[in-house]
Amino acid sequence: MVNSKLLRGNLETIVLKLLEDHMEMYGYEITQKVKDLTLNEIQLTEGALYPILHKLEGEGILTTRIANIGNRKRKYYKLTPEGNDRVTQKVDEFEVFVQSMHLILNPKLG
Amino acid sequence: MELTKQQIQHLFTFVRSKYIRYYDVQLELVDHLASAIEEEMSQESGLTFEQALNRVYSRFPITGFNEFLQEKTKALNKYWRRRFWSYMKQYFTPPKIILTLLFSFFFFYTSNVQFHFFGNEVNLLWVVFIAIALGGLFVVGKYFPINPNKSRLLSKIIFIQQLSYYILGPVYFIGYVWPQFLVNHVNINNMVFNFIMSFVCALTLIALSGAMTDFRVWMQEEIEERYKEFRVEF
Repeated sequence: MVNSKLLRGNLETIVLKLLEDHMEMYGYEITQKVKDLTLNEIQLTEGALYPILHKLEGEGILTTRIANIGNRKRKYYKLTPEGNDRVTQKVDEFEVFVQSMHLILNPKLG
Repeated sequence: MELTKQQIQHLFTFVRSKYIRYYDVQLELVDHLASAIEEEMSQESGLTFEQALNRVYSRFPITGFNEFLQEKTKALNKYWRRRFWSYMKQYFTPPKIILTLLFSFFFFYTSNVQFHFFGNEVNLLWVVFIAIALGGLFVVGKYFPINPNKSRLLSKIIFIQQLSYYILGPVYFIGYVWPQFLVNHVNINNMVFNFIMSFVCALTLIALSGAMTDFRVWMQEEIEERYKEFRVEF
């Protein structure tokens, strides 16, 4: 399983990228999707996910809607236009970081 | 498998027992718990509802749902502050800055109109200030629900708090804090004080007009879209 300190700095990127790829998701769905895509290597806990979702909603990066799903209501999260810009920015930043780490870890390739 | 209505109700009771009294916060927690329990119970056939609930709840931090509530409160404060500020910002840029300056100069003009009040000389600006302050109290008071049970939406509580800061904050500052600080050092009728007070009156009036128009619509839309059962006439 991925080190939690490494994960902490990239939670926002993970959540934003998933929402970009899936249009609209609810909280539990996001935790399950991360687990499935990473073959259980990354397990997003409730204590980690919801603060990020609420923070991004507060900043206007995400918008929400409430839907009836039979026996209860569900809150779906979706990117705003500012959210789409933020995804691009965060993904670019992460890719630059990964390339830089490769140069340090594999100096012969530099 | 899908949980029954009674089990969903049990989850609402459970969440309330953990000191989450706001419906908009309960809703998200209940859905999360329900989705996780449904998955646990479909994967392990002998698992009871209570066992699944205990298992899912144990995945939350040791403080239970408190952190969830705190983060939600922080985010809502940021959300409403951002919306109110985006409204007020319009009045610091063209063309609406003209209105801000016009109001400020008009109110400043009233500081030159003096009259006698119980043997004291008072300028008209103070009357304007008190009228705006009372108007602010009336408008903010209108948003507080008469029935305490109606304050079950955290979003609405935070909205009212932020509204109060924008409308009553400047009034409190000018009416109490600053005079307390300056009364022994500066003539309370001096030009600088009057200009700042005029500017604050202009901003408060702009916030008040927002409270009676755009802000009301925002809260009505929020409740209409998501929490129809909490529809309140403003």
